[in-house]
Amino acid sequence: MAQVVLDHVTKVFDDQVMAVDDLTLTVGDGEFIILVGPSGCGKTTALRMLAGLEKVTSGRIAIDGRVINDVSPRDRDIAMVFQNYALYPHMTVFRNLAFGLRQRKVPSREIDRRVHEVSEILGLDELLKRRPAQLSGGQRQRVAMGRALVREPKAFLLDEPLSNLDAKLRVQMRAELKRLHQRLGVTTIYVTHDQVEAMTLGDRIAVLSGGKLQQLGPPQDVYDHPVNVFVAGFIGSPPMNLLRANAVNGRITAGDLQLDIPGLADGDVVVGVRPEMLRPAGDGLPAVPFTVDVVEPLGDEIVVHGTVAGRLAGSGADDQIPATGSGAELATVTARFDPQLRPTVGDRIPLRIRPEAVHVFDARTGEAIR
Amino acid sequence: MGRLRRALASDHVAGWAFIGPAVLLIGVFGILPIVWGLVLSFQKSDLIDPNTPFVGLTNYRALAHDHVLRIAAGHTLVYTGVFVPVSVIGALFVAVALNRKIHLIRFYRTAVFVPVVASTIATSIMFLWLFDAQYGLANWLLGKIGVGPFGFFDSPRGALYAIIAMTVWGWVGFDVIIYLAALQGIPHELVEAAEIDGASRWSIFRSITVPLLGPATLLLVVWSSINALQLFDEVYFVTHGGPPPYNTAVVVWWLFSLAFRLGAAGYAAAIAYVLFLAILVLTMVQFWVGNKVVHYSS
Repeated sequence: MAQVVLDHVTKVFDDQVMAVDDLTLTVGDGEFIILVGPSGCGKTTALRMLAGLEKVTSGRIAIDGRVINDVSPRDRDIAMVFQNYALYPHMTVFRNLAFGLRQRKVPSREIDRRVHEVSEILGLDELLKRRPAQLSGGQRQRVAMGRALVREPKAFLLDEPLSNLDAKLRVQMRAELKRLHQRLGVTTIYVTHDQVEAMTLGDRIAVLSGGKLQQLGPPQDVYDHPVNVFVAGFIGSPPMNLLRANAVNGRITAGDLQLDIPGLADGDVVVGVRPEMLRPAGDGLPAVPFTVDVVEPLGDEIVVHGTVAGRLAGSGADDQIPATGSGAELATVTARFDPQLRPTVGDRIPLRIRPEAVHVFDARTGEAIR
Repeated sequence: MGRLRRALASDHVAGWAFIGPAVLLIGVFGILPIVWGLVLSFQKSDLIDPNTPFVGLTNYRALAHDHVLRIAAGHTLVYTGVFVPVSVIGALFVAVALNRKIHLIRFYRTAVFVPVVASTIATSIMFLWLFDAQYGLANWLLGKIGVGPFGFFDSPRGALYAIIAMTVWGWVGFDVIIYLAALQGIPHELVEAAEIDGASRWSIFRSITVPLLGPATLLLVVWSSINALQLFDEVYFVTHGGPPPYNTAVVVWWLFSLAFRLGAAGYAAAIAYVLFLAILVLTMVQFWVGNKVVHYSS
């Protein structure tokens, strides 16, 4: 176990593409940290620099206080699980697990002991004589994990290790990963674009975009208090609804939505509301008319897509679909309702929005105002 | 009329129209000579006299008493035993050296492949100059370090090895291209995973690269063995089986000499058939052993 530090780390590729831009991050001893962001945000490059598979253009990477910028991957004492597992196809599971130990000249009796210990933890006992091609996706994933575990390294690096599994297995393996980390307590840096994994697995999450660190903090903090429009739009599924608005004398107007937020400076802003904060309004309360487009029943809740008057604001996290309609400007928003409500397409539902549930961002900089 | 049109429009006719030219070529230049060769091996023939009496197994029985054939078979085995490993292993190292992003890499790759497309006569003339006992560049260079001069093609003991050197140079480019393609098929992640696992470069080469090149190696070993057992051109052009009497005589050169110079085409055909069977058996054994040790990625 170890503390991992990235200190003002930058990576510029030969074609002058800036993959990671001045990333500073300290991963505590035994911490499980998630690097999350959309494709091309630099998260995998950051991980590969940690592994020693990419050279650092500038900055410093240190493990337990020892700068490892120029240390070869084999001497860093870290283990990595690749997205496609990278199991040696010509070796049995046993030999895959033992390979790293053999390279480090570990005595064969010790290799045997550690391989069997790890295979017991991961339920690989029965598979030790098989080759990767004879394994299912989930089994391969476990072997890849086992290959990392058996080395007892200072830190684990995991590059989207669950992305090749089907949805059900992914949920199962997610829990298994968390259990493993709780049991072993190894410093873990986990890269994903899936913010459900980010929310559920990490002690802290680091949200990256365009190679830059956008926000770092415990998952719930990042969810509750996104520091900018990008984080607001990226973290959360379905994502936060973002609408262009105007603030005058402490009153925000976005289409039919009007909210009083005392002390707010005049100017263009973006308002953000989480889908679960949109509730059907009771009679007589101020409300925003919402027309139902698509209904997605999920069992425990219903995700409803529809339109309200207003203009969408892009977060840069996703391509947003503009609302189609005639006449007035419409914005697509998403709400999460109780399953008892059973809305149908075409319903016009008045939505209530509590002012304290609204996030406000500067329209120009994207930074959170409140 | 209608029946003829229907017949012409059938899939049968279209199918034969497509494969007809290939069938004709293979039939005339492939199957016909094979069958004729087999018939010839049971006849006494000098390829001129139309009278070719059937002699049964006489030609095959004569093989056992052919002193030159025994020498030629020995040379062929030595040649194959040296040429195959040297060319395949050499190609592996050259391919690994060329499998990287370095300046002028395309030029280097082309340079390695050029000898493969050069004609055997051109290659032979070049090597006759290079290995000339008095004026050759090889002897001049060796002289600089105080070694030699050597006779190379004129040397009874060294001529066969000079031919090996020449043919390895001429063929290694083909093997390199096959290996380069196979190397590029090895996922880079495997090498990275091995690096992180603590493997040295040599260990990665030995434990990851070489095993994953298994199918290409098997192909090259089989292919090179078949070619080596049929060595002819270089011996024919450069040493004519010599230095005398038979220091570079190989099986195909001997059967060619028998058929077209010594008027024993029937007997030569029997040698050709035995050689064919030997190659067939060797190839089957190589595939059988190879398939046990080679890993094919699924």
